[in-house]
Amino acid sequence: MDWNGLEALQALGQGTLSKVNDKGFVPDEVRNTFFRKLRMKSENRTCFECPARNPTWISLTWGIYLCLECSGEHRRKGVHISFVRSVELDSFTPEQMVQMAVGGNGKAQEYFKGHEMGKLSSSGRVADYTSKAAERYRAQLEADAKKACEKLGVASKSASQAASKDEGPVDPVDQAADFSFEGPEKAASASPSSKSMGAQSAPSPQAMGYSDSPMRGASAPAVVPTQKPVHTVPSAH
Amino acid sequence: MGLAFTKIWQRLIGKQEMRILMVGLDAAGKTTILYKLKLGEVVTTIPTIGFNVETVEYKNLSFTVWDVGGQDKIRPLWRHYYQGTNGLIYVVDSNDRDRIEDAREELNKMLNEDEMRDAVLLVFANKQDLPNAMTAAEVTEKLGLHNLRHRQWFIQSACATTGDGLYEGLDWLSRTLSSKR
Repeated sequence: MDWNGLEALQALGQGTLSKVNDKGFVPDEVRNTFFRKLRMKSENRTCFECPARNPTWISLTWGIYLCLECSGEHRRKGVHISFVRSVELDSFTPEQMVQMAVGGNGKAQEYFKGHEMGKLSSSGRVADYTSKAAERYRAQLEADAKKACEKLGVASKSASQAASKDEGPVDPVDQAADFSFEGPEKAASASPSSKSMGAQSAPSPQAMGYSDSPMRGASAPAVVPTQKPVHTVPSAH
Repeated sequence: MGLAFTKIWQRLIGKQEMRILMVGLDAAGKTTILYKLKLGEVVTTIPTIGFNVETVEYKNLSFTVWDVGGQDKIRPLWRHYYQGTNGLIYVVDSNDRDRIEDAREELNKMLNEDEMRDAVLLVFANKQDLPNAMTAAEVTEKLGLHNLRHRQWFIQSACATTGDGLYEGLDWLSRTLSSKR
């Protein structure tokens, strides 16, 4: 690492990370200053998955930078595998910024390369985010972030969860040094079902105005059909 | 007289047009649902910056479905699409337990808007194929749907990639909107 990503956080100035809104997010200027600095690092100037330049999307889970197309790929995995955010169109908590400060494309690439995965590996095999090796990296990153949160005095969700779970005082150093993988904390309980429920709460019968005026905010349709789309409209199935 | 006849004729054979607004947090599956309904296939989506709009013909109705991006910073733009909305489709990622509270807040904010007073609400509890997905009952409870007043609503568990549940949801929408006219 050419310089510690945490410097980008410290450079924000003392107390900056405690100035959050009611939802726990930092102001946009703070987010922008932080990401401008981190995105300047050469390792983060290319998408983690492909050669695209200047990625503006990230996977918080893995602390990596992604281009728009690859962010779509990560979203398809589900939030339990990769939680995707935009550095421009989303808000961030201090804890999430710490996660990005301790992560980065370089660190992740090095790790995945060592496990014969990722675009820099000799095999070029796409990273398998559900592999044991990947799980270990994820746990390590989480531990690093937690340690950094404690150092910077940033409240972290995982820390408060651990504190409420464990009895007795928790040694932060011990905790942070423990890289053993702890399975997803979300307990499996729900099973898929296709039941539906409904309610009809007394509707007020009122005339509805229907206007079909053109809308603002046009952009190219954010959709890339896998194949040439066949324009047949599905009728009743 | 002629106008009245046209209206009756339209009601008998013509397609009623319905304006549908589809929103929800980012990565809930809105765009996947839209194109699964429109094309009958799973398209490779990327985050929606702006919106997509398609017309979907179903039963006796013609739905104009507006699919609007859900990233944090573009949610305030949703309100520009409220006017004239007959039906609101709210898409929830049933696998995202951490953000279900955010989903509840955004939904309530929207339903409190005067322009949305008469819109019926269809909730898709999407991504039921994922192992840890909340059931429709859980999503109902966490969104506080039972507390809604003066609102016709319906929740449908769904999986956009297989299409499961999507037409059941549209069925409810078409029945409910037809009877409102």
